[in-house]
Amino acid sequence: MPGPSLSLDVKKVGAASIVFLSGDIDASSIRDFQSTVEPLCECEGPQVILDCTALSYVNSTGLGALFTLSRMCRTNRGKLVMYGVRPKIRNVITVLGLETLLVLCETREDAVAIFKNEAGTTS
Amino acid sequence: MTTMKERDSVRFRIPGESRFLFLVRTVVTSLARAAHLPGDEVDKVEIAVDEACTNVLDHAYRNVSPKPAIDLEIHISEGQFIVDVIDYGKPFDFKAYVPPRFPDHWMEGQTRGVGLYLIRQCMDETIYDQLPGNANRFRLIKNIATCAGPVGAVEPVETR
Repeated sequence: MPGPSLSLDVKKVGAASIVFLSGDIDASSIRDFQSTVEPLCECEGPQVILDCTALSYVNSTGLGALFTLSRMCRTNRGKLVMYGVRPKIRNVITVLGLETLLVLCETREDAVAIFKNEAGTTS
Repeated sequence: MTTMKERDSVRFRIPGESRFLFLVRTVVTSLARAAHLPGDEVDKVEIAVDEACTNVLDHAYRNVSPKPAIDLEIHISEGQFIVDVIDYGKPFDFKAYVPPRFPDHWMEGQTRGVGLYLIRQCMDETIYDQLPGNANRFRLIKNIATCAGPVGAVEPVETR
């Protein structure tokens, strides 16, 4: 029988939290995703990085949740950054008009650099 | 890999629980590949069918316990790859549906109607009708012939 379709692993790297996502975000896994990532976005100045290199599928509810979490981070003067997003998921992000509302990077280094650059411009 | 040909038909039923959506995606994408749809079109069919089944669980079967099964029938007819998603819940009122406008929809904190918008973007044609026995059928159609060429293709998409 099919089981949970998403695995999540959180690692702290400096001030940032990197969430390693593997599998699918769909109706069966959306709550696990939200309950893991949302607390990371609630602090002051959150630095949340989502490793999407092993993420195979995200449904529309999942993309809506990503936008909500990203906005929560901005409200708390931080940012949510995604890297390694597969073209299949990027296509859906574009269709749903989210490409300018989510921060997408190619690599982890690019994602980490965003926070370093911001720290540099604010110090 | 097997080939899915004209007049081939596959039917299966899943319990009305979201943990079986993975199984739906796996079967539908396998059959879409067997019908020789290009990779990006297989992805679109996967998204559309998953969203259709999710809508059944979230809306047609809302406040119903236990939720009834969902039936799926995949067949090829007259050059079309057709997926029927059949539910036994509350019918959907298509006349009342207003497609979302992006990105305003997100900025206003709205979430409803996105799945159906995505389904229509992903498929060439959709037909919703009611069947005897209090069943609703959402027919999702992909024209195989128009998928073959590069015209209208989006950027290449890897398979799972």
